[in-house]
Amino acid sequence: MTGLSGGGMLPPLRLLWPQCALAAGVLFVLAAGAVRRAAPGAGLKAASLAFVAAALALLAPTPEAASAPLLGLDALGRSLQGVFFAAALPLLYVMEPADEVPPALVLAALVGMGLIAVSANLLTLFLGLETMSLPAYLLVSRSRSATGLEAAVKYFFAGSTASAFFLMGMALHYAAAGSLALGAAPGGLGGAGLALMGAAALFKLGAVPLHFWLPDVYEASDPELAGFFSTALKAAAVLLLARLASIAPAGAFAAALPWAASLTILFGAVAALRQTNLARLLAYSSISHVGFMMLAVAAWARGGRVRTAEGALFFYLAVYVFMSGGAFLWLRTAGISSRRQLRGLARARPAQAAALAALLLALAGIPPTAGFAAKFLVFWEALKAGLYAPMILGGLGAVVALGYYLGLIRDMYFDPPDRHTAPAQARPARGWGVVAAFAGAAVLLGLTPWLVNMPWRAGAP
Amino acid sequence: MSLTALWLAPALGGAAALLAGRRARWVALLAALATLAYAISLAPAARSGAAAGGGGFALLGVRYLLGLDGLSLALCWLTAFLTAASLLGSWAGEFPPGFWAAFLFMESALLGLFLSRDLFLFFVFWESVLVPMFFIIGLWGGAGRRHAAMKFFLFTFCGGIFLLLGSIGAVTMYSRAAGELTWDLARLKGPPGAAGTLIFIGMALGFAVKIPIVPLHTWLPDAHTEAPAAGSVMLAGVLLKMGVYGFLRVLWPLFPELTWSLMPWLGGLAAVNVVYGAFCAMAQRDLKRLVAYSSVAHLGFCMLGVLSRTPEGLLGGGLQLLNHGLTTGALFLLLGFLYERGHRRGLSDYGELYARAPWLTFFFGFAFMASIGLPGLNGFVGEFMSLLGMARALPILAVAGVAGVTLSAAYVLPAYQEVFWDAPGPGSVSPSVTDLGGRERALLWLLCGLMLAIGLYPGPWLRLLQPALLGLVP
Repeated sequence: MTGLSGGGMLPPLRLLWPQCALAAGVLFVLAAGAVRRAAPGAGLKAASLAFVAAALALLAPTPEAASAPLLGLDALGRSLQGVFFAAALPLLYVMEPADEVPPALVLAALVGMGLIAVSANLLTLFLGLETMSLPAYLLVSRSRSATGLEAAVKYFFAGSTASAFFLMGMALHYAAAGSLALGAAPGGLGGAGLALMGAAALFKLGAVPLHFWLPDVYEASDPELAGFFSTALKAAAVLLLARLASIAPAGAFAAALPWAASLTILFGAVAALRQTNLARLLAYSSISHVGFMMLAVAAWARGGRVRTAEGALFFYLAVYVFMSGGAFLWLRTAGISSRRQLRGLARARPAQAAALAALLLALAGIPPTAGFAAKFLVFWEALKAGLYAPMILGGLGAVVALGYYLGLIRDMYFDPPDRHTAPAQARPARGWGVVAAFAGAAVLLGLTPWLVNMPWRAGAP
Repeated sequence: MSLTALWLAPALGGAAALLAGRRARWVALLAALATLAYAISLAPAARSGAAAGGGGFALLGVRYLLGLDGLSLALCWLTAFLTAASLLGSWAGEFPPGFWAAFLFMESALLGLFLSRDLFLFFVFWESVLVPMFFIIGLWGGAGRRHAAMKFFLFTFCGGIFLLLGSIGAVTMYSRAAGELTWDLARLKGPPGAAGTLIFIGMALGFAVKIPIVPLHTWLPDAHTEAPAAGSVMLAGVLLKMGVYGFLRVLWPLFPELTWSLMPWLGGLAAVNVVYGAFCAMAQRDLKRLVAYSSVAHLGFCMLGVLSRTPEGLLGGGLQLLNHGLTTGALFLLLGFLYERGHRRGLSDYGELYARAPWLTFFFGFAFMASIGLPGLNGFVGEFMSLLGMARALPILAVAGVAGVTLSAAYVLPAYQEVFWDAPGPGSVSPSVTDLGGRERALLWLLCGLMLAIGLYPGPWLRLLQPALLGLVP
């Protein structure tokens, strides 16, 4: 964490190269829109190009200690930027080539997430948060469903409240610590500030009890966008939470975090059981998964911020991109929204059913899928940090969650088709390749932590 | 490497079967028989104790450790044999490639389980068994298959979570105490004190669901009854053994003192299993459910023997694992054959079958006799030794066990009489029952021959189990 607070001499702009590439991409995409009659699809092409440039810029070597008063990059920030990119990648494949605005908005949101990743200061953190959120509101409002606008307004008000909380918390923190840098750990008034900022982060995450906006938004959004929100935006919010938790690892906020985490896991699992709309079901399932991420953050903060815990957090978020992103993308490509339509699907569309079954087994955390490895690593870190009771509650949540993941597989495979069942598709929709790749990754990545000695683990116990 | 091949071979065979289309059952049978042959060829390696594999990378102390001793080998043989037998038993059914592949995938996970010597590896294989079985029950089972498949998965997964959390706890506490992070079952020791007891209970819950110990058994009658015949064979024949095996391989070496001090409680539960399972079986009017409940009772015998911690009890309990696999495997195969003919399972749906199907009557009788422990057949040896061991350790529990032997005759014989000898009632489907064909008879001769062989000359089998099990005797 020293990387975040030290005052290096390197020009800080170097850390922002990926964000610069993305921001330039936004401009290019919008410019391409001006000539879209001449070159349809130019917007997406420009977005892809910006994307590649940003990813390359991220790979460019940056000394670990590169930092400035406002910016800094540590291993967690760098690896999570990779997660953001992986989460946004499938959107470029399934978006309408004729419309240049959504790609521009996604790139803009990525700029904000990247800012969160490289910020070493509450001010830049807030800037990143806002830059990320505003495009997200717009994306929801442009979705195809009838309730999109309503959901966007709800999302906007909820998000703005969170931002207000964050600003208020920042002010209190500044009053107590006299600095906006991360790392200063003031008591008293600062604790209240931290709690307010933490509430904002939990809001963005959709943690219980600040989750109420989330199912509506995911249900109303286009599924592929919901997948983006559920993976990239969550990863950014988790990073925000981790930065806040690292300010005062022994404070009241960090102490309450594991309990909030287990409550979130259990609530999400129970609430998802009775959902009939698949996007809503996956939304509640994502709430439950966020609980596991929070547990990982809590273990990381409490256990002295060891790199193995960072590794567990990164692995969970990375795997979650494939599991949840893949499941939402599946909804989009299969054109299925209701649980009834799944009945007997294995007969009409065996390959699609198999892909969803693989994703669901990974989400449920059945060995040897990646979902299991991810949960296992979180349990491991939680136990090492001494979070026994939250860990056991989390285990119970995993059992409850199995009820609906397995229930969906049962519907697809064990039920006969009826009049609600989605008919076979004449022509495969765009994006099946991505769904298949994501499903494969969600299963096979489970082997990687045991085969590849991740850099996180070098020299760690 | 050689041990890796044993668990990998059926998985590859399963993948091949999936791609083989209409030839799937041939590919599957070939893979199952090749696995069986390979498992048998490993006998010298197991005896010399030389067979061990894996190692290499380690992450969080997890290593790929495999090993083979007499207990593992015996259970590997049972798995490979019953897989081949259940495939042959379903030969006449019109099943898609997925059916044949699922059995091979399950065999692969089971063999991996019996070979692993690393607790983490053990757990991964433990849970991997669930998925193929879930699909086997849910896709090709009877009328209540949806419910039964869910119940089976949820119960075992719930137990599995406790097993996982307990394992993580044991490993981290051991690493704190000994300064060594390892999941190696040979080195791992459970922590003492209250934390140890808690971890013990958590892990024991995971195993108890699988054995199953009353009152965690309620998934078993549903799963066994609704599964297709071949699925029931594997469920009763091998999957139930996982629990006892886990107890012997994991829980006991980790917590030797705790197992002993909690023995009266665990043994009491096992005795309840024996008696309660028998009474439940007595009340059944469905032949398949009756056999399912008899499994609850039989696994109670295994646990009684094992828990006695005497040489004869441990060997008897270990042998009873094999015996129950053979006997109940044969019974579920026979029930499958009967169901294929009459499409009913009720006791009152049949009558006077001896006249129409003498071979069926003979083999049913043979397997039933083995099941109730007739001297000269395999069940007698296992049950007798188990009870002998328990009589030395805690006589009162042995008395309950002896009562269970008597009760087993009380539920098996009337059922046998009603189905095969009594005059059929109204609505009987007996006329539609034809006798067993050549393939079916050959399969059952093999199974019954083994039952007789173990019953008459158990020596080689006990010698096979001896080194592994007697190591547990203090």
